[in-house]
Amino acid sequence: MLSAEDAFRNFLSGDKSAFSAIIAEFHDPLIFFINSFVKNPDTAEDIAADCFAELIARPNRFSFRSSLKSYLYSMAHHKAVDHIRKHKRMMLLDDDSRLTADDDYAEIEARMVTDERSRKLHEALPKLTENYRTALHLVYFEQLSYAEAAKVMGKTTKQIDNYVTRGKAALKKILTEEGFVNEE
Amino acid sequence: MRNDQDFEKLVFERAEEIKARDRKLRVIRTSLMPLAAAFVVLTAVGIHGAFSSNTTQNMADTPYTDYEERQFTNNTKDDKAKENTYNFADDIAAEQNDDIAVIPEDAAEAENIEPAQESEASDITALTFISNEKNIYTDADTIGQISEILKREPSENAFESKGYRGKIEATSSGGKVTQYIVYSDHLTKEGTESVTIALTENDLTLLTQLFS
Repeated sequence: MLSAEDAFRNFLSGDKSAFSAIIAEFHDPLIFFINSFVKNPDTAEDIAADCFAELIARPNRFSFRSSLKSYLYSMAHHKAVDHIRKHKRMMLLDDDSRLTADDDYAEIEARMVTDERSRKLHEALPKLTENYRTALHLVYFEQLSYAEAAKVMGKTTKQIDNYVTRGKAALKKILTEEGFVNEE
Repeated sequence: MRNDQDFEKLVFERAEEIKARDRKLRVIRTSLMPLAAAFVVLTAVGIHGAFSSNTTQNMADTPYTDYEERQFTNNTKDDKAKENTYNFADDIAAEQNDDIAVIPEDAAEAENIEPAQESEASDITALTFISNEKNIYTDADTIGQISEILKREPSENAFESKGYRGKIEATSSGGKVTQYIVYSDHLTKEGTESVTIALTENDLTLLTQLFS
């Protein structure tokens, strides 16, 4: 199977359809990730579209030194955080759009959260602080390496290590309190 | 939420919008002289207004004469600004007209750029200013200030600016630096895409100290 980086190379060489493969690969997980910040699937979809659009419009900014996945997640992370900062007050009033988008988003969520263990993890993550939540999401749901997660979050690898360790401890406490027995 | 086709269509439409915005930004260039001149002229106008007694009354009584006087003052200050600009640039030699890339260590690591050389001076951080021919070492505060300059971009570039990738270019004429241009994201070999960042008077002072 063609890697995302190779698909992007093909796109840069003139194969416009190669970008469809990139969108198909990252559409769901990117929206899933962004939604963990913005808590609004429509907004998450908009931001994801912006990430893809920027990749098309400014292709030279991706230098192929890192994976396309971590590059896209870096962009998504920054745009999501930026959006929260700019729209903090509005988000509190935006419950209606959140409800109307729930059905569609539920399908994405179902594709991302495939078993009981990840469902419990997904439900517990929002109870963690942002850094713990983001680090655990990237490492466990997106299976990024610590170095890639560090790049996405603009942190050092050591910091990611700390976030994951402390985040897991906090998660364990939450899941234990809720009666969920961790198999590990 | 949109279906796959609509989403893809939206992505390409937005890409065109971003390209159009970038084209506009690319033509914006900030040079040293107009900035410095504008700053000094504005200051001169302010000082003139503050220290001229009965300025308002004078203007009301003899507006034309006062206008002439102010124009004369402005022109004088404008000339002074130009003179200051050249003095400001005198200390910078033509051979310092290097392209300077600024890469914080963590960004360099993330991008697998060769590690920066360590300085022997104890108060120097591991972060360096890397040019084609030489490394310029400086302290963490200066790096922080340079990073702040490079971060100063339109909000849609927030992601890239976070990485502090950029280039500061000094151009000279007759051995004198006539302008600094600060670009973002110039480190890829595949091509250069420039966004010029506006410089304040403080930025210019900082850059002069760094490169002189």
